[in-house]
Amino acid sequence: MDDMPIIPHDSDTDVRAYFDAKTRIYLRHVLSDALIEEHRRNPHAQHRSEPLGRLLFYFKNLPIEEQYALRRMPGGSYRITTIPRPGQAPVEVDPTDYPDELSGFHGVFLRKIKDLMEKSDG
Amino acid sequence: MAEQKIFGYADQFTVKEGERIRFYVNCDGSDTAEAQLVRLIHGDDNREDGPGYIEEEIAHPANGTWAVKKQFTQLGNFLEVADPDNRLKLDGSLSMMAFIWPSMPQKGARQTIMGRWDTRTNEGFALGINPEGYLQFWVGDGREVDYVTSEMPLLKHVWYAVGVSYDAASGTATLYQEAVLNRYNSLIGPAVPYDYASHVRTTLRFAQHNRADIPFLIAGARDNHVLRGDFVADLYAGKIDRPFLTETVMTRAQMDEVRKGGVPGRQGLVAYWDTAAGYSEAGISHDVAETGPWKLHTRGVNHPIRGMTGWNWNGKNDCFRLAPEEFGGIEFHPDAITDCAWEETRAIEIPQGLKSGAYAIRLRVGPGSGIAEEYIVFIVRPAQPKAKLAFLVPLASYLAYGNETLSFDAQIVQPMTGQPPIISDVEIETYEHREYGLSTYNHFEDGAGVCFSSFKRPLINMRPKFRNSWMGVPWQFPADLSIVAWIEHFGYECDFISDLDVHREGVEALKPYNCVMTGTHPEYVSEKMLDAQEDFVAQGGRLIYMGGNGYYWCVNFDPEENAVMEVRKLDSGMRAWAAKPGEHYLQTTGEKSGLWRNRGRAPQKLLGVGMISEGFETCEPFRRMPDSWHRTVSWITEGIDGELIGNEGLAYGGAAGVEIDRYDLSLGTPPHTKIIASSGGHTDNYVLSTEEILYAYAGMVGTLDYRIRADMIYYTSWNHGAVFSSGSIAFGQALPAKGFDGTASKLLRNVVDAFVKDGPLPGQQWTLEEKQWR
Ligand SMILES: [Fe+2]
Repeated sequence: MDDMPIIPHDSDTDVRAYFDAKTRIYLRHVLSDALIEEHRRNPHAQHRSEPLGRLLFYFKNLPIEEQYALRRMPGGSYRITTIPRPGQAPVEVDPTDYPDELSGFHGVFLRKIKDLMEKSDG
Repeated sequence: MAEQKIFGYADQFTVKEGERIRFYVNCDGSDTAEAQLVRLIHGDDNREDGPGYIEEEIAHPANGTWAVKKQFTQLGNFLEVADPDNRLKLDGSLSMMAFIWPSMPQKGARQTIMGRWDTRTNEGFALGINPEGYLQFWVGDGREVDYVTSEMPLLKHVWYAVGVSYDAASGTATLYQEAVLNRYNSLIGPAVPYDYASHVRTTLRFAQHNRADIPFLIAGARDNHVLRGDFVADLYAGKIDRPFLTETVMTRAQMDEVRKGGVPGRQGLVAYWDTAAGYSEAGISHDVAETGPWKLHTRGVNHPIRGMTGWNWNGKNDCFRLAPEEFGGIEFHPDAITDCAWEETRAIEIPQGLKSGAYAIRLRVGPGSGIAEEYIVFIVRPAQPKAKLAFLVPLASYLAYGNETLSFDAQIVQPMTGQPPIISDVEIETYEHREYGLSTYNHFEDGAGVCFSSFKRPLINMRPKFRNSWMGVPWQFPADLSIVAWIEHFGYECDFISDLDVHREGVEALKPYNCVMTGTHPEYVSEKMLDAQEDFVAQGGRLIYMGGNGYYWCVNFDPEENAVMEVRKLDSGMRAWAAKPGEHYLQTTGEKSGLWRNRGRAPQKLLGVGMISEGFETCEPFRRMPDSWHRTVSWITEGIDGELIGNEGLAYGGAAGVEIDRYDLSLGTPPHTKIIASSGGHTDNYVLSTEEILYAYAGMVGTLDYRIRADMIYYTSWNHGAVFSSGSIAFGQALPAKGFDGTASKLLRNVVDAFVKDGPLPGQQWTLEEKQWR
């Protein structure tokens, strides 16, 4: 059969796209200022509410291309960048200097909320 | 001016007083560097919660300005063939054939399977894969290239028999391409309706011209760069099994015979690499048997992986020892590196009387920080053992993690740590250039797990001040310096030795000591290391296991190259990759790799505890358990008020966490082991280790599963031997907190003070009435 693709389309990605879109409908529905404040108070807190827990699960399971890093700056502050990829240096996405890791983590959290709201699907 | 950066490595990890150690340095943007010998005392530069970074500059004749230069690194696996008489310089007709299992056929760049080819001058002949993934044979006359190309692209992870017959008289070149896929040996099975075969014939416009100095290579081809000189390019990704070369024009029927398992006839045979020959019960060498008429010495470069399942593997035999002929696959990776092989920059002598410890040559260029500063780390051993206490430096585990890039490559890392990575310039720089190789937590570009790691290359995370980016805290070597700082702070006489020393010398390396302390995460151990420590304890030695997730993977140091450690990850355990079926055995010993637990040697048997969970992101204190008040062990917690131990630390503010171990009688914890303290209340980011799981169910997390905790344990052995285990990676990093005056530090003082003394241990006067357990 000559029509066998050499690098086939991975149909699994279609299923994930559907799953993630459904998840985003829920997450947009529960997103609130109170939830953002809950994260700001303690990004590591164990006894987080179910909506925040689910939002963080969605965020940390995003593909690498949609993740962010904190870059340690010479002055001791942190800035948000994309994750370096092979042959691709990290891109600074926000010139804000975060004074410590926890405020940086919250900065990444806010950036991911922005991405979530900008996704046109679901 | 070009960006200034400096990287280096040494030829040894441990060196004794009076011995020489050689350094190899690569520098951009400067032809000199300022060198300084330093003793490393504390590695974590966090000055808020601990003492900050501490090094001591040591006077040495080598201090001062070193001449440095740009050095080049040969990446990639290939086979070098010693052919001094140019037996493989075939100027007339020839045929080549091999079994191949390409792992990146559509790589977008040419790959050489075998040949005698110069990429720069277009001279010679070679069989390979073109950038689009089609089998190709090409010849060059020094000006032009002519070629014949298959009509069907190669599929990745499928076994093929490929070859070419070239008739120099007529110029006819005929390609041979047939799949040899069976029910087991390839990614896909026989039900896939695909036309694998292609047989193309072309008349080439000219014949090969062979220069005398072009080498015959398998899995690569000669290239040259004006600054760099000769190197090997057009590297192949995947497996090659039993390649050969003849000076005849093989017919399709003759090639069919080989495809069905026949051995090529001797008539006209020039070279035959019997990749499945020479295997022994004790493993496989890097020399590949060439069994043709000339017996040409052939050797793998950068550790091609041997004993891999071959074209004829049929799924029944799971090890190369059982049926070597089914394991002729040699796996090649264009991004493998086990020796940078740079020119020596400088050798120095370790002066007599230099205190045993962790040292480095600190090299600075230009600004002298970030990528313009390098620490080449090594351990100084005393010429003769001096102290009662020894610190056992876990080199194998440093190598396992050497240059890991999980933050950039592993999607799984944020789900595991629960936080975004915190990255630094040195990581970004080395990730961009990728010339110093990978860790056993990485995959090669073709997706295969990395199973060899070497210290003959710069290791950017085996240096002080480095913070692991996916956790944001020091890890392995820089974390172990927190134990070193504690030893220094309290003025203990201590000899430093590495696990490689123990691997080579056995229990003799440990015998001189009353007490041996490990690092924070000695996860990778060889059988020889385990045997030596088990014998040490049984003969009366005292072992302090300062870590978590220790003595977990079965590894080996390559007997042909001690700088290289080998591991295969498989079956179960928290693991970065999974070895393919049939490829679970160490090439360098023949023994099954994977978890020690799966070989009947769970860490609990020696350490009393073994891996139960990891979670990173947060740590907890220990809490005293009822056993700790027992009269045989109450001395361990003497002087500690209250029930909490280690409510401090440089790893997330607690002594219990990061990766944690549990007491478990069912896995061989000695029955008389006492639990001194346990942690608990870990967050739900702490999950049950995979090797614990039979049926998975919801709730195998920190707040819901009581097993997820670190156990701090103690047990006694024969001849006043004993083992104390912290069961937590974070324990070592808790020691420098609160000015070395926290409860973790106090407790460890009690243990070390008792363990370094000759004679019976405290609490042993009570053992007469409990003498069934010494
Ligand atoms: Fe580990």
